[in-house]
Amino acid sequence: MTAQSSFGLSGLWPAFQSETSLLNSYESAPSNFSLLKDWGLMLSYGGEFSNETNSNLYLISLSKRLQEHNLSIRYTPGYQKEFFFRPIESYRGIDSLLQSLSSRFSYKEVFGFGYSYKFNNLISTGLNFRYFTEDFNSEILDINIISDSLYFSKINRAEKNNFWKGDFGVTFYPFEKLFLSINSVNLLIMDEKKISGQNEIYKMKREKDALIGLTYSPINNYYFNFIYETDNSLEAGLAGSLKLGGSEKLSFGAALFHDKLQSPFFAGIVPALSFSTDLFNISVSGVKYFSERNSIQSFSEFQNSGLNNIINNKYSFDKLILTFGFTLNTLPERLVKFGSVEVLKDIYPTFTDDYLNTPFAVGYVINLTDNPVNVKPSSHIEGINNENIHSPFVVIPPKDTGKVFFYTMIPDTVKKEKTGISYADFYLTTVNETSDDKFQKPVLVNSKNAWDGKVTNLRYFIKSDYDFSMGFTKQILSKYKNILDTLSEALTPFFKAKIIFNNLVKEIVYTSDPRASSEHVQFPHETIKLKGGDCEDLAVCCSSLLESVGIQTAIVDYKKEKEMGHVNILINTGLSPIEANLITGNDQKYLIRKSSTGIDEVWIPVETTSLTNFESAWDIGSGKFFIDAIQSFGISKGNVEIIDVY
Amino acid sequence: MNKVILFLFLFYCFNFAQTYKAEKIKGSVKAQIGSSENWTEVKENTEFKENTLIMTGKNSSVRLSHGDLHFTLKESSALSLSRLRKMSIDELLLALAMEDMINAPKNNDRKKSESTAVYGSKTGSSRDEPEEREADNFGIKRMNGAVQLAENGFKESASVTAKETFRKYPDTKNKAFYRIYFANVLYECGLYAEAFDEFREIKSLELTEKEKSEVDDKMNLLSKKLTTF
Repeated sequence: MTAQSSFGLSGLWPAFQSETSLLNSYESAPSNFSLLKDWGLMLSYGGEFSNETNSNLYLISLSKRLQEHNLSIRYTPGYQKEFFFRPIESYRGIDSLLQSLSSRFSYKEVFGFGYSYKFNNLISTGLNFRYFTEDFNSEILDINIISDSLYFSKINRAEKNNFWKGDFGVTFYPFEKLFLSINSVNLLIMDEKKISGQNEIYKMKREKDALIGLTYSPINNYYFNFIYETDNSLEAGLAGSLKLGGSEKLSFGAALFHDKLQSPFFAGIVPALSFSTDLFNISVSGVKYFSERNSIQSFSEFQNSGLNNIINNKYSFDKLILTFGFTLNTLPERLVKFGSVEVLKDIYPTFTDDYLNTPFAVGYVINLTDNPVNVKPSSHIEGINNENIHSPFVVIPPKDTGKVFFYTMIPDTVKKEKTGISYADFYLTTVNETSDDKFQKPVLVNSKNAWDGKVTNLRYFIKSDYDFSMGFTKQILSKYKNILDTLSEALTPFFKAKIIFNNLVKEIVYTSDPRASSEHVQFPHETIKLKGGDCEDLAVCCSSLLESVGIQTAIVDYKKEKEMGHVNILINTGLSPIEANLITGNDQKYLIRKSSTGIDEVWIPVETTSLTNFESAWDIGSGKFFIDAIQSFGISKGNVEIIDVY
Repeated sequence: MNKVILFLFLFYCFNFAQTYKAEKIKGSVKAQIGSSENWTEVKENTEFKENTLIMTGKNSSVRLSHGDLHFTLKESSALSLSRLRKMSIDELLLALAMEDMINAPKNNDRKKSESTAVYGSKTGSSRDEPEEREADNFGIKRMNGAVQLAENGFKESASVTAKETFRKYPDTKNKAFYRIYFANVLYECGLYAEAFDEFREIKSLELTEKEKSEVDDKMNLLSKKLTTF
C-alpha cells in the first residue's frame, strides 16, 4: 500500500480546523491528537460511479478522549476492491460444453484502531493498526481419465491471506499557524500465515515509505495543506472556513493528488464541503479522476503493477461520500487552562490579613474559547486551609492569556511549629461545578514564629496575641486603679503606658537574646515567659500590651545600615501639643503627629530594649529618634520609617 | 541587649560631639542638655554639645562660638545648638517633606489642605484651654531664636526651626508677624510654592491692614513667579 497512502475519502483538512473531520486520520496522520473533547462517532456513506453504481457504508468509527490520551476504533466495510479475471482461452469439459477458467481476487480493510498522546501543546504522537484480508479464488483444471478417455473438470482453489499493518507518526506545532507531521507507511506488516507462491504476486504492495505533512495558515481560517510521500506521490490542497454564528461553521476545501502509479500527473481532485456545530458535523466529499476509468482492463497489467491502495488506485472510479460526525460530550467543556503558576511569596502563618490583601501566587491562564471567559480562581494549601479559598473573578479575553491572582486566608487555629514544604492546589472554575483545570505547586509554609524581616509585618505578631496582652495589662492596671482614677482623662494614656512599661521590665530579666535571629519573632506571651527577647520581640511585646488597653503605638524601623537594623516604638499620649508640658519640659522628647481625624497629638519615642524604667527608655528613644529620624533626615531619606500598628 | 543600649548610647554621644562655647553672658541664660527635664544656669566659657537647648531671659543674651562661628542669642530667645548650622536647599526640602511624612494621617482620609490652618482651634476646643504658662512663652522664645538664626544667614535652618515650633507650640502659629516673616524666608530661599501655601494660610489669620496688604502683594508676586515657571 504505497502510492497515495495518505488519500482520505472525507477530504484533506487542516489538523486544527475541525473537530469531527479528524476523527479518522489513520491514512494521513496517525499522530494527530484530535481536538475531540470526549466521545465522537463518525459514519461515512457513499457511492462509486462505475458501470453499475454501487453504494456502500464506507466507515463507522468511534473515538474517545481521556485527558491527554486519544483512542479510536473504526470498522471499514466499504474499504474493499474486488477483481474478476476471465481468460480468453477455453476448454471443453466432460459434458462437451465449452468452458473457461476464471479467478476472483478480493481485497478488504476490515477494521483498525488507533492511539495518540499529547505531550504538550507542541508535540503529539500516535500509532494505528489496521487489519486487512485478501481472498484469492482461482479456478484450475482437473484432469480425469475415465475408460482411457481424458476429461477436464474445473475445481476451485481458494486461498486467504490476512495481515496487520502498523504505523507510527509524530506531529509538531512549532507555531500557532503551522503544523508539521511525519508518519510511517507500512512500518509493521504481520501476516497471519504464509501463502503459496502462486498468489504471492497478487498480494497488496507493501514497500516501506514515509509521509511528510505540512499545514500552514497564512490568513485566519484559511489553510494550505501539503503531504509528500517519499515514493514521490503527493497531495496538495486549500481549505477554509466561515463562521456562521455561534458554534456553526461552514468549511470547504479541495485537494489535488498525484499518484505515481496513475496518470495524468495530478490523477484527481477531492473537493469537500462541511457544516459543523459543537454537536455534529455533516460533510459531502467526492473524488473526481482526471483520466477515463474502464471497468475492464488487462490481467497482465494487474499482474505487473499489482494493487497499492484499496480506495484509490488505477481501477478506482469517481466517488461521492456523505459523512456524519457526532460529538457526545459527557464531560463538561473545558474553557480555560493553566499555562503556569508562579508562587509569589512563602506562607507565614502569622501574617493572616496579608494574604487577603496581597496575592501569594499568580496563574497564567489561557482562554481556549472564542468568547470572554469569567474565571473563578481558588486554591487550597495543604495543612493551612480546610477548604478551597476563592479569589476574585477575572475575565480572560478570547484566545488570550491572562493573569489570575490567588489570595488565601489563614485561620487563627493554624499553629505550625516547624517550617516545611507543603503543596498548594490551584483551581480554575468557569461555568461548570467542577474545575476546568488544576495545578499543583510546592510552597514553603513557615512556622508561626517565622518573620520575613519586613518590619511592617511585625504588627501581625502584636495583633495575634491580643487576648493574652489584654489579660496581662488588666492584671497590672488593676493594682494602680486608685492612682489612675485621680488622674485627668488627658493624662491617663501616658500614665497607663508608663505603668505597663515599668511592670513589664520587672518581668523581663535579661539573659541574652534567646534567638537572635531576624527570621524568628516571639509572641508577647513567649517574651514574657522566656523573660527576654531581641529588639523586635520587645517592641512587639510592649506594643501589644499598650494596644490592648487602647493606647496607639507605631513601630519605628531604623533600617539596616552596616547590618545594624533596629526597631523601637512610638506611643501616642493622646495629648494635644499645648498639653505636652504636662508630661515634659523638654520639647525634643516628643513629636507631633496628626491623628486619623486630623487632630495633632503628642507621640513619644520609647526604646523598648532599655529595661531600666520608662523615663530612661523614653530618654534613649527620643535621643535616637532626634538624631536618626530628624537631624539626619532619616524619615525623608527613607532610612527611618514609622509603621502604625493599626 | 546591653550591647544594643551601649551602642545607642555611644552613637548618641558621638553624634553630639560638636561643642559650642558660651561667651559674654548677660543676664539670665539657661541650658537644657539632651533629654534632661532640668534647666541649668549657664556660666561663661562653659562648653555645650549640639543636643543642648539654650534659653535667654528678659534683657539677657549669650554669645556662642564654635571655631570661626560666632552667634549672639538675644533676649527672650531659645535655640537648639543643633540648628546652628548651614543647611542646603535640598536639606531644607527634606526637612519640610519630613514634617509631612511624620504627620501623615494613618487612614489617609484627610486631604493635605485640611491640615495646619485649623488644628490649633480644634485642639483647644476639644479640651479645656490651659492658662498661659511658661511653656507658651517658650514657644515665642523658640520663634525669636529662629528669627535670629535667619538674621544671621541660617535661613534654611531657621525655616525648619520655625516649622517645628509652629507644630509644637500651636499658639505661635496665630502670630502673624512670625508667619509672615518665615513665609518671606521661604520666598528668599527660592521655595515659591511652599511660600505661596504659607501666605495662603496666613490670609485666614487676623491681620492688620498693613499685614493684609503685604500678604496680598506677596501672593500676587508668587502667583506670577509660579505661573512663569
